[in-house]
Amino acid sequence: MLTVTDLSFSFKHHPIFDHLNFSIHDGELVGLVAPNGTGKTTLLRLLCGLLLTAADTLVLNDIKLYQHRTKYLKQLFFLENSNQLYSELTVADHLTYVKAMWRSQIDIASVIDELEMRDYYKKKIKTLSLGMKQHVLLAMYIISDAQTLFIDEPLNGLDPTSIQQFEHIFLQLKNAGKSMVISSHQMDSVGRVSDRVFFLKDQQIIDVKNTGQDMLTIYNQTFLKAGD
Amino acid sequence: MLAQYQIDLKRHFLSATNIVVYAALVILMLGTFFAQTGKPNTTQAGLYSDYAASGDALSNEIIALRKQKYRTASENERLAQKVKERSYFDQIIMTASAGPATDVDQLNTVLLNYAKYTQRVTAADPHIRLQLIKYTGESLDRSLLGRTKEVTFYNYLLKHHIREIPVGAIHAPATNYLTYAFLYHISPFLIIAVFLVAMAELFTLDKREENINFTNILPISKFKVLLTRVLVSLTLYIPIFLAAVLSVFVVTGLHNGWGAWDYPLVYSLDGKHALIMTLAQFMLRFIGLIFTILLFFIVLNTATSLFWPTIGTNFIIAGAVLLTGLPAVIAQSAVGSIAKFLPSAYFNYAALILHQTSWPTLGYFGGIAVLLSWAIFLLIGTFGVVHHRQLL
Repeated sequence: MLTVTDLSFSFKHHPIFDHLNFSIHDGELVGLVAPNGTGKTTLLRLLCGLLLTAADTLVLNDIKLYQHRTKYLKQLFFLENSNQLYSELTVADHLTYVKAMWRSQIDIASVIDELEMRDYYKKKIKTLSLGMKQHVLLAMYIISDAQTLFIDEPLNGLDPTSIQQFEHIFLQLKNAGKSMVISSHQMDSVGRVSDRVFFLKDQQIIDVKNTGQDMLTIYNQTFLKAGD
Repeated sequence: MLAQYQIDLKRHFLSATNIVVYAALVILMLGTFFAQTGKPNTTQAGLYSDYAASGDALSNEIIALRKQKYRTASENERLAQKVKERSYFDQIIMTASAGPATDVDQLNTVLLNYAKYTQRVTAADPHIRLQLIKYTGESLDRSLLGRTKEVTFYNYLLKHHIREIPVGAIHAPATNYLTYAFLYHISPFLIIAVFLVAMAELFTLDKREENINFTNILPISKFKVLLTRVLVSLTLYIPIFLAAVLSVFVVTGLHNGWGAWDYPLVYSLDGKHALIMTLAQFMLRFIGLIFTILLFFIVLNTATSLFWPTIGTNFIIAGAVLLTGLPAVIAQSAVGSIAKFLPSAYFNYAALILHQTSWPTLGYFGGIAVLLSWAIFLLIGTFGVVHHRQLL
């Protein structure tokens, strides 16, 4: 379980988050929704320790980030976007690397088959399309076998079939007990897979339990001004 | 850590910078080779001309002294001295006049005889001005040590039946070419600077390619990541340097001949006695020292890249440290006796290996110990910074 206590963050004296408190349970999938520039990626970076927080703010499965950084990171996986992949290396290089670094027991071949990546498994990242790179990213998340996954806009550049495939895998991972925070602008998809949705507004999180309501309507009610 | 090493090595191995570094080193080392391309091999003729020029100067002096109707006692002494010197030169010039067909041992014998004579005379009276052989491109050393070195040198040549190959030789064989390149023709600072560019590039790659955040969420200590990068740098730079040296050796060897690794260089440990270092011994010491220097700069880059993750800043900082090794800086009296404990005192590998530094040092192995100590000190500092950041 991830517990976040009193998380505040400012960028150049501009407050981004103000005293946030929330928890994410094992096997829970949380959608993270907000207009561009509101701080979705910043929140995910904070949860990984890529940006500084107070000492006791982040606790993941009873491990505090700044007391046992390596153990904390071993339990999570986060790669912001496909630009952070090593362009000169192959898909195989990336997957083998993640498996070794996270000491995972996941079989790479089965993931490759499941995500239908066999055709470009040996290709360099720089030769792949955005959709292919998104598949590589998802494969890395799966192969890391980390308990907590922070995924930033994974559906960008995907065709409808791939979106369905990704949603299916998110639910599989959730059922396997993984905790996930997935940021997305695709409200229909968020509605289909999330247990809860965090709407970021005015430096706060509006925590909405997903009971099958129309997420796009809630988004519009939350973010669009009257008359828009 | 092995997986981190493997992926890092593969990433940096594929970098075009390695080719650039290799090419830059080869071009630097082949500078003299290119300059001599198409020129006839006039080394032996040049040597003969050096002997003849010295002999002519001697003859002119003798003629001038003889023309004087009234000579003082000291002038008579000087004339006798010059006539004696001339007799040695006559032998040298006569023996060398056969050009490339000159018997090596005969020539070395007469050169050794003259060297011994000048050593005896200088030992008896260091103020007597002797006519020494002025080799093109080399400076004269009139000191007793200089004379002793010459005796040791020709003794060795005679004993091993080796023909003299001067520093300014045209188409010098590969062994001499390489050694002279590192000793006399290419500044050590230039060779190191080439690697500094590569290091600045390597240690800032994550930042430039925007995958630093991937590195920062790896479930291993950041210090291990940095340590891995040090190992990767060494794994890359050592073979690149050796490949460049080997390439130059092959190119010059095929064109000029291979030469002999037992050719002598003369040096002195105590300023009184002369010792022989073969080209093989020099190259081994040179390679050992340059790798230690590179290790020091790799660790320095590791430390600086923590604070300034850009190529320019890293290069400027490392370059500034390199420049502190220039003789004009390190030999300053202000640095004084602490100079020998600074890494800068050991960047000029050519001067250090042949014990020709004009600043205090701890010698070759002492220098390696100083460089390694500073590298360890910097690594400990780096560990401290990383550890502190992880606790923030």
